[in-house]
This record gives sequence, C-alpha cells and structure tokens, in this order.
Amino acid sequence: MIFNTYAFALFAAVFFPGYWLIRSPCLRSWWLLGGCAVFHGHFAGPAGVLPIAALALLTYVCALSRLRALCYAAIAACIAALVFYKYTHFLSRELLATLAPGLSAQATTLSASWLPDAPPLALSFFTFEFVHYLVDVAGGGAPIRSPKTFALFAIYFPSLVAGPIKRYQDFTAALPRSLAGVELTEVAAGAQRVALGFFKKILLADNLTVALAFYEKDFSNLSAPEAWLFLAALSARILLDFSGYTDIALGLSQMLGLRLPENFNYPYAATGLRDFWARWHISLSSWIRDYVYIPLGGNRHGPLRRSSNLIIAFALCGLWHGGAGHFMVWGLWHGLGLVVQATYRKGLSSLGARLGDVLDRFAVLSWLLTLVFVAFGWLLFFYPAAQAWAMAIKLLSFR
Amino acid sequence: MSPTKLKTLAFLVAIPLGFALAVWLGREAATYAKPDKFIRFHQGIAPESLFYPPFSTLENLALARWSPGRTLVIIGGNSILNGVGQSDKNLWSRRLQEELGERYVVVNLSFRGALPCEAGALVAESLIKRGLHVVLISNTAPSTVGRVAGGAYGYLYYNGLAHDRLMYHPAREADLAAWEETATPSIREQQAELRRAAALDARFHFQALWHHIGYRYGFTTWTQVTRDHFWRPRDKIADDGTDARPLAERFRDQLEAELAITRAFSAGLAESTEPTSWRTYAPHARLTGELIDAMFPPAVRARTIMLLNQNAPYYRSRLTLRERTRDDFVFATYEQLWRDRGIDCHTVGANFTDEDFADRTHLAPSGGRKLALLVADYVRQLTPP
Repeated sequence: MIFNTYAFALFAAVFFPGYWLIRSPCLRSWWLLGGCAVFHGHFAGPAGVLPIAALALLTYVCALSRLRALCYAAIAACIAALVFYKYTHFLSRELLATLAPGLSAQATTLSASWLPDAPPLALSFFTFEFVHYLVDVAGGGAPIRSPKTFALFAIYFPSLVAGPIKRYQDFTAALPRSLAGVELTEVAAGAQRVALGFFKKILLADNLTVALAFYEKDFSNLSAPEAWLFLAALSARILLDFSGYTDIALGLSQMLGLRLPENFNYPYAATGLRDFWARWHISLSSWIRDYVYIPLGGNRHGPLRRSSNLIIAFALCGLWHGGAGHFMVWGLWHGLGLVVQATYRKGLSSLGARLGDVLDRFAVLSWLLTLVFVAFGWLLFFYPAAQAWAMAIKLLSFR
Repeated sequence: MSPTKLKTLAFLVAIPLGFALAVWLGREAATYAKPDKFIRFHQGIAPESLFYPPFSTLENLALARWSPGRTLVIIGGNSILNGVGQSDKNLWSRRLQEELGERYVVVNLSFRGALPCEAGALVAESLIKRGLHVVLISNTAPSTVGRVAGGAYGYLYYNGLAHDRLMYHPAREADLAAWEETATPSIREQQAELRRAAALDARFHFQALWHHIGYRYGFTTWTQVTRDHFWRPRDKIADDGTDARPLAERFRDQLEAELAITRAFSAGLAESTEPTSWRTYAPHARLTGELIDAMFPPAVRARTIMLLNQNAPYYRSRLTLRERTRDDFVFATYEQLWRDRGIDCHTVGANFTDEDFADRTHLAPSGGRKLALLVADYVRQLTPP
C-alpha cells in the first residue's frame, strides 16, 4: 500500500498544508496538479508514467475532437494497452498453454523480453476512467476543454492507486468548489475517515493477511470450526483491506474538499447477489453495468440473452482484478449466481416460486445464503481453482 | 462559534498537540527504554516476530550495566552467538561474563541470521566513537562479510546513521552506493524508504515510542511466533530457547542436506593445485577483503574478535580427505585474511566434539562453555590489564 509509506507521509506533510494555505483557486489548481504529478511520478516511476501519459494525451485529444471514430479508436488503444501490459502473460501462459503448449512457450519468452516486470501502476483504473470518458463524449457528452482539468481528472492522486473509479461529470463539477476553499469540517471529517481507513487496513486487514497465509498452508488439517473461521476471516480480510484503502482515499480527497464516490455500503448485509453488487465496489460494478452489461443488451432481449450478458460482464469483471484464470472463475461464479437468482422463480416453476416466497419472508435466510455464496467465491478469488475446490469440499464435509 | 465548529477546531488542534506529545514521549523513551532482565534477543523481541528494536534500545542495553573503568564486551553476530541450542540459563554469554569477571560487562546483542558487521557491530562502533572501552565479538562463515544494509537488520544501520551514532567511514558509504546502483528498482526503493524512516525517526522518535509501548503495554501485529497471544506486551513473551536435544537425537534430521551444506562450505573458496593442495580462489578472497575494509571502520577493526565457526564433527568426519583438507585450508587462509585487515580472527569449533554441537552449526551448552573459555582468553589478550 502506498499510503502507509514514509514517502507518502513526507509528500502529505508538504502537500496538504500548501493546498490549504494557498488562497488563489488558480494557484491551488497548479499546486494540486504538481502534487498529483509528483505522486504519480514517484510511485509509478518513468516506466509507469510514460504509457499512462501517452494514453491520457490520446484520450484528451480524441475526446476534444468529438469525432466518434477517433473516440472509438482511443478506446481501442486504451483496451489494447491494458491487454498488452496486464494480460499478455495470462494469455500466453494460461490460455495458450492449454490450446498450443509449444506456441505458449515461445509467446512467454517473447513477451518476457517486451514487458516490464509489472504493469504501469493503476493501469486498470486509468483504462476504465478513460474508456468511460471517451464513451460518454462519443455519446454526446461535453469533453473537458482545459488540459489542466483533464490532467487532474486523470492523475488525481487520492483515487489513483485503487479507485474509486471516478466519473468525469461528477469530478469536474466538484473540482471548482474544492479549489475555491476547503471547510475545516471537511478537513476534520476527512482526517477521521483516513484514521478509520488506516485502522481497518493496517490493524485489522494486514494482521488477517499474515495469519491467513500461515493457516492456509495447514488448511487440510484444520478442524471444521477452524476451517469455517478461516473462511470468515478471509471474507473479513478482503472487505477490511479494500474498504480501508478506500476510506483513506476518500478521506484524503475530503481533506482537499472534494468528495469521491462511495465504494462500499455494508456489502455483507446484502440479502441477495444483486443487492451485494449494489453495495460492493460500487464504482466498479456500476462501471461494468454502464459500459459492458447495458451495451451488450442488458436485460432487454429476453432471459437467455440477459443471462449470457451477465456471465460475460462478470467474467470481464473477474479478469479486471488480475490476469489469472482464478479471477475469471470468480467472476463466472458471481455471474452464474446472478443468473440463478434472476431465473430460479420461473425456471423451477412452483418449487421456485415457493422457494422465493420463503426467502422473501425470511430475510435472514437470504442474507445467510448470500453471505455463504460470496464467501465461497473468495476462495476462488484468492486461490487457484483446484485449491479453492479442495478447500470448499473440506468446508462442506464439516470434518 | 457553533458547537460543531468548536468541536472541529478542537479536533484539528488536538492532532498536532497529540503528535507533539508523542514526539516528546518518544524522545524520552529513546533515553531509557530497553527489555528487562535482558539476556539475549529471543524471538519474542526480535525481527522474527516483527519487533524491530531501535538503535537506542540496543545502546541502552549495552550501557545499562556499564560503569566507567569497565570494558564493554558487545557480542554481535548470528544465531550461533545468540545461543540457539542453549536455554537462557545455560547461555554461553553468561559463562563468558562469569569467566571475565567484574572488570568486563558482557552484552549479547546478536540476532539470528545477522551478518558480522550488523546490529551489535554497529552498537560497538557507536560506543567506540563515544570513547568507551569496547570489545566486539562477532562471528561468521569464512568468506561471509555482507553489508550493513540490505538485510533484515539493515534498518539499524540507517537508524544509527540518522541519529549520528556511526563513525565517518566513506568506504562504507561508497560500497553501499555502488551496491544500490546494481540493485533492482524495488530494492532501491526499499532502501530509500528505510532511509526516510530513519531520517524521520531522528526527529520524531516514533520507533522508540512504538517499541516501548509494544514491549510494556501491548502489541498489534500478528506474527507466527506470537500467534496465540500476539496482542500481549512483549515483556510477557518468555525466551523460548531450549538446550540441545539428547545426543542420540541430534544430527539425523536432513542428514543429506546438511552434509551438502558442509561440503559446499569451502567448495567455492579454493581451487586445487594438486590432489591435496589448495590455493584460494582469488576473486572471492579479494571481495572478502574489500568488504571487511568497507564494513568495519579501522577503529572498530582494532577492537574486534571475529570467530569463524566450524561445522559439527558429525558432518565433517563424513567428508572425504580431500574435502577436509580444503576445509582446513580455507579456514586457515581466511582467518589470516581477516587478521591481515586488522581484525583478531579465530576459527572455533574445529576441536569440539559432537556433544558440543546442537546441530550442524549451533552449540549445545557444553560447546557454549568451551566457546566462553576460548573467547574469554581472546578478550584478555586484546585488553591486557
């Protein structure tokens, strides 16, 4: 995590007081842009900054032209960059290995000579924000004219590393107010949110991470209650980790007087999978809904098409988290779960209707089912499919 | 002013005030904080359990029993000198203190896996710089010098440097800069982060405060070592070091792997000229010499006793005659190499018995007693009355 480094502490110690002390909105916007550039430059390094700078420039220019063809070309370039940097290894090592092992070895060697050790910092977030911007502009939205405002939207440091994924309309609307001045109450509330985020991330999630890594090695020897406790800890860990990080990002932004969109809304209180995805990583799920699911046809062309759209959207959602097969399997797990949730009442005729009634009447049961489904999904998220399967079998055997 | 605004203001004012208070408390803690009844850094108060005692703690430990006129014997080095294979009651450094008597104060600042120039060596350097009469006992394998930065205890170097505790030794800085040049970007960033931490700590003293709280009042980090009671203050975590198992149960585990290590110990350090004649492999010897020069300031070298630890006879007796002669040659040659650089160096363990070893390298209580006798002698020779 970047926010708990000494480099960030030093950066924050200089940047925030400067931002608060500068009175002129214009100077303040330059200070903010300078801070964002320093942050991005330091933590991403030259190899991480250059591809993002190139994509940002392309996105800005193409959107400014308001030509649909250029916007779509820029979208293709953003996606191609994402695939190249993040999924080449996955495509050559995992996908190609099953289809043509010989070719896979060659592709792996070739890609190793082209690719840097790690993809540019936060490439997935940049891509999704640029694609959203280009799609909206191609659809008739007004582009950002000021290069400074666009640059601020692109590399706004609180949300740069792990989101939330911003929408440019909200950001450009909120920015002038933040540049005009920051209320003390906003600074205090932001600081409290940052503290809460650090508590969740460092004190709770990071401890769970090390403990889980230790007990995972011996998972097959855990007793049934211990194994279920492990699953609960795994579920708690990802929520605390990600929502803690988001709290820090949101809090830092609030300290600058700019509210970012919320990303979590008590997701483990959800009483259904649809409900869960309306509460979990909200900026991502709404992006997937708006820019993948709905363009694919959404629920407009009958249940079969809706089901396939859901599965495609969630497979992509899974892959967005990382270039590995188990992320895609995790996405498919949720996609299939949503398909079942959307169709079982009619699909299972009277039995389905009765089951639906029971679940409607006993919300606790729906909640429990959702929680267990999501928790088993985390096994697929964290571990290779075969290991996750073995862990699930052990859990369900209650031994 | 509205109550909300007043509350906000109070909260915002409390942040710098609280920070200032923490800095003051940290500054105070740095002057006195140290583990109670300290014998050695057992796992509960060492980096294995994510407890990173700051430089000030090590210094406080060294000075706690010292008084003017007495010689401080600082033990640095690795798990062998830390006393793995000996319970705290039978620790070799206790025997060393008994052997040396009141004129000397023995403090065991060794850590598992530490290099000869790390941790205790840096504290000895700091105290020599302050004009105290110090002897450093450290240990290693013949050609292992390593660097003060880059390992698990590298934070102590940056900590000591930022607190202006270390000697001016440009060769060390030049070597570290050259090493960093060739390191991966992530290692370079890791080192830069350690430097930032140390620079901030020199002003705000958060390491001393945090470790004092962690030692006295409660810890927040889960570790494998303290897993069942990770929240407990570290002063409640006992030294879990035990004496070596009965002789009949020793050495059998992973015999082949341990034999391979024994065999490899001197393999890359010498090349044969005739069936049983050897000469040192020059590049290794040169690098070892350069690292000794770079990592040990001349004033520290003159006050250092370096021990080269031989492997247990159980394994050495299984080497071929050729391997044994190579082993003897390498130990003798490197012992001389350390001496040529101004460090009093001795090979230890070559004439110990199986009974004296807990495993391939670590010493059982009887080996510890023998080591204490030998080291006491070396210390007296280095510090005549």
